[in-house]
Amino acid sequence: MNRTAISNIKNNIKSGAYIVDGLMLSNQKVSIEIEVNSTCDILLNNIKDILELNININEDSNVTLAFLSESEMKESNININVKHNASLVGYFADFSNKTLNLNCKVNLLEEGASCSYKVASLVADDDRKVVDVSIDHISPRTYGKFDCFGICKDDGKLTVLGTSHVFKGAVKSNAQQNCRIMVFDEASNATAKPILKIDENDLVASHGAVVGKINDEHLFYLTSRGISEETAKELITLGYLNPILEGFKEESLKEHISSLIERRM
Amino acid sequence: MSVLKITNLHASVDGKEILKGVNLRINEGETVALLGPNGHGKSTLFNVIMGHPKYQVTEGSVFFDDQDVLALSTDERSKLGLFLGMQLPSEIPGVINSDFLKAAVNARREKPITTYNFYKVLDQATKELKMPFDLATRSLNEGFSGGEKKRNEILQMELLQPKLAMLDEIDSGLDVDAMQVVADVIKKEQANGRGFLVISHYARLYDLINPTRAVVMINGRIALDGGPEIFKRIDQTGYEFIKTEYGIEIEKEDIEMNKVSIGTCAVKESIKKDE
Repeated sequence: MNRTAISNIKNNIKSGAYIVDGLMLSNQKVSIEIEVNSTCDILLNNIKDILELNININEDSNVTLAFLSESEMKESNININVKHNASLVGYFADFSNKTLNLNCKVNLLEEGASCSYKVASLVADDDRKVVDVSIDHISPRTYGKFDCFGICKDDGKLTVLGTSHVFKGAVKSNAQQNCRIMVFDEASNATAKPILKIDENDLVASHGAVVGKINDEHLFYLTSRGISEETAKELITLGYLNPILEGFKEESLKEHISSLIERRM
Repeated sequence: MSVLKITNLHASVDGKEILKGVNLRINEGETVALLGPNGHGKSTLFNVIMGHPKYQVTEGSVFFDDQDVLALSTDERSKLGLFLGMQLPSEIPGVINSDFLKAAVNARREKPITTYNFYKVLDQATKELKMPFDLATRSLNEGFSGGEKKRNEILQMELLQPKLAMLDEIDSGLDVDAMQVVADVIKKEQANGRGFLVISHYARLYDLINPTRAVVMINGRIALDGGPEIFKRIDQTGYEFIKTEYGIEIEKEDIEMNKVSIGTCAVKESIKKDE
C-alpha cells in the first residue's frame, strides 16, 4: 500500500492512504482535517514525539486510524471529533517498554457519528502504563465501542480507564466498553475501570471488565499436543492480541508487530 | 514395546477421589473399548494419563514405553506417543488452527517442517477427513460445530502420529457419514499398528472399528476385562448384569446441586459460606 506522508502541522486531506511519522513533527501540535465524504486509512508511527494530535472527521467520512507505539511514551493526547454520519475505526497497538500514558478523547459531535476503538497493550518487566479512552456521545443515534486487550507480566502494571458519557438528548445512542486483561505473574498488577456516565433514558449501554490468568484448559489443550508451555503461552498471547492486527493493512507491519510481541514475551 | 501399564492408580479432583485403584494394560497395536456409566472415571483416567493439572495422582503408576509417564510434563507425554482426542475440545480465540497444528508438528521435529510440506500434509489429511480446508485458517475450534471439532481432533491425531490414541466420545456430535469417515481413519491407523483406547456409549462406533478387547470401569476401578461381546451386551441390556452377576454395586453419579436457587438471596448465601 502506497501511503502519502503527512508532514505539516495543519493538514487537510481527502480520500487516500496516509502515514504520519511523529519524528517529523516532534514537539508540535498537529491537526488533521478530513474532508467531507472521504475514505481515509491513516497509519501513525512514533506518536510519542507529537505534543498533541487533533483530528476532525467531517460529515459522511469513514476513517481508519492505526497507531503503533514501540517506544516509551510519557504523555500522549489525542482528540478526535466525529461529525454527522461519519465513522472512525481506531486501533492502538502498544508494545512499547517502560511508560505509556495514553489519553484519547473521542467526541461524537453530530447525529449518526460512530466510533469503534480497539487497544492492545503488552506490559512486561517493570513497565507502568495507563490507557484512557473516553468517548462522549453528544448527539442522537451515536455509536461508540471501546475494546481493550491487555497482557500483564513480570512486575508490570497496567491501568485501563475509560469513560463513555451519553449526554442528555443523545437518544437512541449505543455505548459499549469491554476490557480484558490477562495476568501472567503474581507480581503483575492490572486494573480496569470502565465507567458509564448516562444522562439520557433512551439508549443502549453496556460495560464489562475481566482481569484473570491464562485459561488452564487452553494451556492443557495445547501442551497435550506436544507444544511446550512457553510456546503455548506465546500462541495464546498472539491469539489474544490478534484483533489489533486487522487494523494494520501491510503484511510486513503485521509481521513486525507479531515479532514485537514475541520479543517482549 | 509401546505398552501402557497402569498400576493401582488413584486420583482425585478437589479432594474427591475419582480413580480408586485402576489396573490396566494396553498392548501395542490393541484397540480397547473403555465403557462404564457416566461419572465413574473414564474421562478422568484419560486426563490423568495426559497430565491435566486439575487432577492429583495420590497413588499408583503409569508406564508407557517403559517410561514413567507421571514424571513427565504434558507436552513430554504427547511427544512420548500418547494422544488424547478430547470429549469437549477447547475453543481458543485468536489461535489460528494451522499455526497451532504446525507448532504441534514442529514440537516433535528437530528441523521445522517447511511451510510447503506442512500445507501438503495438511491438505491431504483434511481431504481424507472430508473437512473444508478453511477450518485450518480459522481460530482453533472457535465456532466449529460439534462434528467439526471431533474431526479436528482426528486431524490432529493424523498429523501427530501417536503410538497410542485415547479417544474420548469421539463419536458424539458426528452424523452417520462423518462417523464412517472417522472410523475409516481409525481402521487405516489400526493397520499401521497404532493402539487405541476408545470411550463410547454406543456400539455403532465399536462395530465399525472392531475392538479386540472391552474393559468396563465401575466406581473408579476396572470391573470387567474381556472380549468384544461385553460392549454388545452392554449396548443391549445396560450395566445391570454387572450387579446381578458380579455383585458389584454401581454407585450413583454424585451431582452436587447448586445450593443457591431462584428465590434465595445469592449474596446472603455466599456470605454465609465465607463465614
